[in-house]
Amino acid sequence: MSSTRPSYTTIFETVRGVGKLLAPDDFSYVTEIPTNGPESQLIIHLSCMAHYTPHVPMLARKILQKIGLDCLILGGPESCCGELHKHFQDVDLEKQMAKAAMFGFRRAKPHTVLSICPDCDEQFRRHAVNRQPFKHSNISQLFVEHLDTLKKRMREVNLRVIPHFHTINEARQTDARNMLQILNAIPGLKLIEAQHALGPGLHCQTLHPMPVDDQARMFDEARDLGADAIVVPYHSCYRQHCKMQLTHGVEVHHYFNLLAMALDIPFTEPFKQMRMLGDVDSVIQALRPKIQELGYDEDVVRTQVARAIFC
Amino acid sequence: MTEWTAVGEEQKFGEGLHPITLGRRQVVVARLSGKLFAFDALCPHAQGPMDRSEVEGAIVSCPLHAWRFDLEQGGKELHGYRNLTVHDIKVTDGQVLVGMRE
Repeated sequence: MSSTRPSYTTIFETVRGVGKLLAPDDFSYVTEIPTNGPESQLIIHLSCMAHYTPHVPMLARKILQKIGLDCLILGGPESCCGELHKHFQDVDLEKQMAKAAMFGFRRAKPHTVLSICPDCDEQFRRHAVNRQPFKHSNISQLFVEHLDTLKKRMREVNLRVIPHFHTINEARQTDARNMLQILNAIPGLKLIEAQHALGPGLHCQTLHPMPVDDQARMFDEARDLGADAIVVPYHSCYRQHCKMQLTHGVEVHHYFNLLAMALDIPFTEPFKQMRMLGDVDSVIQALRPKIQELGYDEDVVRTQVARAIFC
Repeated sequence: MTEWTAVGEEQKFGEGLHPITLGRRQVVVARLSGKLFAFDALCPHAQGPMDRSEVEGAIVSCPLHAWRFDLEQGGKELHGYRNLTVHDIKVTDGQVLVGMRE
């Protein structure tokens, strides 16, 4: 293993540690389903890095509940899609990871597994088996299918927003179209056209973030156009861009946030709250009671917070 | 009573992880900071290859999902998940002997 590459243990321990510190008390999910465990028609797969933005899977479940659908949130490092191993070119391990995750889904006998992460989406598509007993799609697809039901429950959200999107392949183009369709359905919301809102690759990843100059251009434009917020399709984009509020005064919202506002679903944004504190020391101070409650080593958490929140 | 099986000369097992086959079982013999351990070669979670574990002291982490097992605590999983089966091991007359546990 290269000395510049963090170990899987380091990465997953950061996900587990920071994930627990940021998780609201009412955030519940399972890491694996035992044989003869609970069954669920719908599963939201909780990707590893989505642990840092727990409000995203929480809102996904609450929005589904507004449609009248119940679901199980399943995931975390224990059900990782293998993208990390793919990135580090451990191809045999990657395949084993994806297969293990999909085998785990089968125990709940779902008819649909919903991704919120584009990497997981790609992985489960690549490693799907013949006669797979469940359908798999990005959650935006299900929201669009039930948009008429959602629209009946929406109230006005008076914000001017710029949609940020990724279009590198057909799946991401579909997500972008779905997000636009959902945003256009929200009364009062004004979508502003912008020239610099396209992100690189599948999403704004920690390992391949949007170039700093491009990011600045996107936020400069948003500020100049008088946008209240940039709306992003993925939790990874949200994590990458949140900090720009500090310099540009333009908020960053996951599109679930806007749906939640429209549907009167209250929510908090622990990641953004921490990132807005501006530095690791302030975050540690804010998290100290929970660090102590969980019995974590503060020095270890300090390193993890730097890696997860200030990357 | 433990049934001991010779798995090789002690010098064969240098610092690190060494996969071996004992009958139909895959086992890892590990020498960590000079101390010998033997444990199942497949992680109890998703059958990850424990001979490719990441090692920190006497803690081995599965390279798939990073379940972490403390060999000094009998293979205890440190997040509270299922434990790794750790086997008995000893050196007699320069030979490493492993006593399998079920």
